[in-house]
Amino acid sequence: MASSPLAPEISLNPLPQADGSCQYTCPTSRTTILTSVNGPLEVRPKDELPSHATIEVIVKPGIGVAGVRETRLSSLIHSTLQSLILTNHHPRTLIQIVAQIVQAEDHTSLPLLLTPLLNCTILSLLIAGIPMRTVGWSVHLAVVQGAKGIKGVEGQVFKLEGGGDDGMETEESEEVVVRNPNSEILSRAKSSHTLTFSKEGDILLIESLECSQGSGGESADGQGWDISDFLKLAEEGKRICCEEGVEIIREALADRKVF
Amino acid sequence: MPKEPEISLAEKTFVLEALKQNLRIDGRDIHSFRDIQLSFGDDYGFVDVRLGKTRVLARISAEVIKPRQDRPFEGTFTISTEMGPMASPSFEVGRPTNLDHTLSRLLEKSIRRSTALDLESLCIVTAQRVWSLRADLHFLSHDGNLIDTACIATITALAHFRLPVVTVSGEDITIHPVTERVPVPLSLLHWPICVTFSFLGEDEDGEMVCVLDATAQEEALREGDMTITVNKNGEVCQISKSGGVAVEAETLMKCARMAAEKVKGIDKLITTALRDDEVTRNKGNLDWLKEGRSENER
Amino acid sequence: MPTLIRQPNSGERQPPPLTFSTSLFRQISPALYLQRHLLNNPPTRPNGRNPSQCRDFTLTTNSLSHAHGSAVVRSGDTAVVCGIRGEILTIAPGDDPSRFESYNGSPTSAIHACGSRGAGGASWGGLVVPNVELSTGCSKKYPLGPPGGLAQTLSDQLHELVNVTKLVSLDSLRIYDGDNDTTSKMKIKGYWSLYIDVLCISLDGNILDAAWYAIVAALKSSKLPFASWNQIEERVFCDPSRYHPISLRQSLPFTTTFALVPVPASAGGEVGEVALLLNDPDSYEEDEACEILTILSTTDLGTAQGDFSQLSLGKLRTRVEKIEKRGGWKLGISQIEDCTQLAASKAARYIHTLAKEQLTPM
Repeated sequence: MASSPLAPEISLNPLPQADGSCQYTCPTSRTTILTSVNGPLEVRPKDELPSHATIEVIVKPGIGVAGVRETRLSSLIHSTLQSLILTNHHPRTLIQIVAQIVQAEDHTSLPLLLTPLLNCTILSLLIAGIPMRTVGWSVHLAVVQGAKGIKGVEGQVFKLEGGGDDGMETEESEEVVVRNPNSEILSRAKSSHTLTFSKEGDILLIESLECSQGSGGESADGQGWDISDFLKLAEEGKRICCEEGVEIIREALADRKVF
Repeated sequence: MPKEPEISLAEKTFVLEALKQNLRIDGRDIHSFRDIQLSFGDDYGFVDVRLGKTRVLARISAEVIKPRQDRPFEGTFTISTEMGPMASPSFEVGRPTNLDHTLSRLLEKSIRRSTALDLESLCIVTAQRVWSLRADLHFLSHDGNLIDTACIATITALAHFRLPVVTVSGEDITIHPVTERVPVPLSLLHWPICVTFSFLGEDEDGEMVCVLDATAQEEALREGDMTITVNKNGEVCQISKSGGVAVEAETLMKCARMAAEKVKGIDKLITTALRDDEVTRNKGNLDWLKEGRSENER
Repeated sequence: MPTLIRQPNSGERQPPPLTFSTSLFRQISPALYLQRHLLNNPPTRPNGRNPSQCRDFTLTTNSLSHAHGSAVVRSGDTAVVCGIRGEILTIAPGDDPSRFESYNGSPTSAIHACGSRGAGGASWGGLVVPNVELSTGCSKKYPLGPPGGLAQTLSDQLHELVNVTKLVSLDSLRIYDGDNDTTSKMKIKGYWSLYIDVLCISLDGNILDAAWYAIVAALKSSKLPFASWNQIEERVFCDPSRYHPISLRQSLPFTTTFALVPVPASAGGEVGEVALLLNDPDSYEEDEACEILTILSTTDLGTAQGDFSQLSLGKLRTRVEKIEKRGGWKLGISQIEDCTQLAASKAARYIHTLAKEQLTPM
């Protein structure tokens, strides 16, 4: 199903017992997520909402038992899905989503896991037929200083237009943006941005952080980015999600004839 | 939380009557397993086992820790089996069911207590540093016989896993990454494999129907079950028959003999799958496997 | 008390509408109550502030005598206590100290190879560990018991903030063999590990900002005893007569949180809803909000050290180190820029208050 080398490997409904499921593998970092969606189901009385469906998201790590990191991941996914799922269509029910981290280069890195988790969850919700207001897609971008040595697939590395005041950037000092970085590129990156947009271009989630290496203290002064650079990056992320992301969803669902 | 739907009377009668005549719903023989499919991941120690629609993932991971005070020569090995709603919506996170307890107890007895894994081989520096292995089992889909599937997954993952090479010089320990030194397999003394029999009433001759590798439907209808863990040499590692319908001892002995036969077949299957995976990884170069060299040729 | 005036049916006259007191209206229909306030011109909030105004806060440091450092932050009705305790972590032979030496380093490839999951995240430093406790009776929503979803999420967020900002200089946490003279030649025998406990005493919204400020203030005012390895006893010994502060970065970063509340678009041809940004939400506004935006930024004050009251919004140079937006879909990209300016001015106030607190003797 990969039309371009950057398209993720998607396999729909691999789990026969779930209402909807999806397996998603990120092409560059080989992070594999498997999600299952069941719903609308019977809900525990204490979780019942009178005019909305309760959404429950459980993230299960590949190694070890779930800890605070998994709770945070499920809370981020929950808030994103709250704005996508039409919960008033099935009040007093439960929509249960379980995401299993099957394979990851670094099982504890939040930036590497968030994008595949969100994309996989959105696809399995579509397969399960849960009514949704719109679709969304997520992309992970990393800003790296110095393009040397980054061997990316075609289309993965790009520069933002209008970046830099003078034209005197050498290869070492130019800043490039890498899409779907793997953990090696991420360890060299200055900042990591997970952006989720809806099909209409609304921002659903931003998780941007400064992630350069260092031992802290005074060496950390002067890190960070300017807000105008971020806004340019967000525009690019919006374009990727709204055009390519929606295209990926459409292609993946094309032969299913679900609707 | 939703419960599994109760089996209707019509379904129950149909299945049991068919079994009386030696017929199973999915057309299998009463004493045959479903097709076992093993696939490995990119990392060593990761295996995906499918038994029909039942699917279990197993992943082995290791880290270096300080050993226990009373066991300074041994490493540690823990098996984590947390069932979640992915396998079936009737499972809840944090609220283990009877199946959870039975499963972890059986795996504990079969694999850990039978010393399938030689813990002393995990020692790096006595009383200071040992390897601590951890097996995480993820249950993805439940269509019966989770116990056997989980056991096969754990054993296969252990046989597939490779431990990084460690060199000790004086006080310093160096763990070599896989790119520097080829990692070594674990020291497994034997491969215990569980076989579960389900008892579903008596057949036309008055003998108990012992079904092997029950599906979820058959498990819901069974009156009793027995899990016996055997290795390929026919040595019994554990037997567990907790309650359920009373079965004659002669029948249980027959089951045990059948289990020993089946395990030989499963063992061969695992060996073949591991070998095929090695071939794919090394693209045909098996020399290093035979000699166990730890130097990089280049 | 609701009053219903019933008059005898006199033909065309409509019965008068039901009337409620404002407090009853707020309880019955909290979302509508908030919306009506915000639709006023100019928009006001039920707590009296305007949307871009944050609460006043007070800071007290070093009030806990048994902790190595502490701070109490009060922002409106939200009150947070933070205590810092340093514990000594000895490096055993064979341990790899590189994971303590850097923030955000990639996991060492050997550990990576065996797929282990290091404590606190293999790629995040494990020396500074925050923990948030909400089951203190601060709010009805968080009863006694193990930490629930919000407490766990906050602990993870604060841990991420410590790593993103690289607040503490990890080199300064090293414990050496012997005296301080030739540090480059000496062996590292251990590290100070900082346990940060954040207890919420009273919760009225926006605990993240208060907790982070308390952590920064507590770290800035902490003093650790001088520790070194004693070769005879083969243990780390502390000298109670010599204390040194924890070395932090110069430009301190602070978080500012905004809540976005949907209001119907005012008559101007627009249909639907827009989101109004509320700076420093209290718990009522947080419950009604559909999205939350948090910005972590440092303000480059430069030469404007003296007169903080003269700082105007547009003049602050600010670098952003983290942006988190979750929930909802109404935030516009342009609104983020306005938020950054508000965050910058709040950060300036935080720095000013912290500087004043540092100057007063303990």
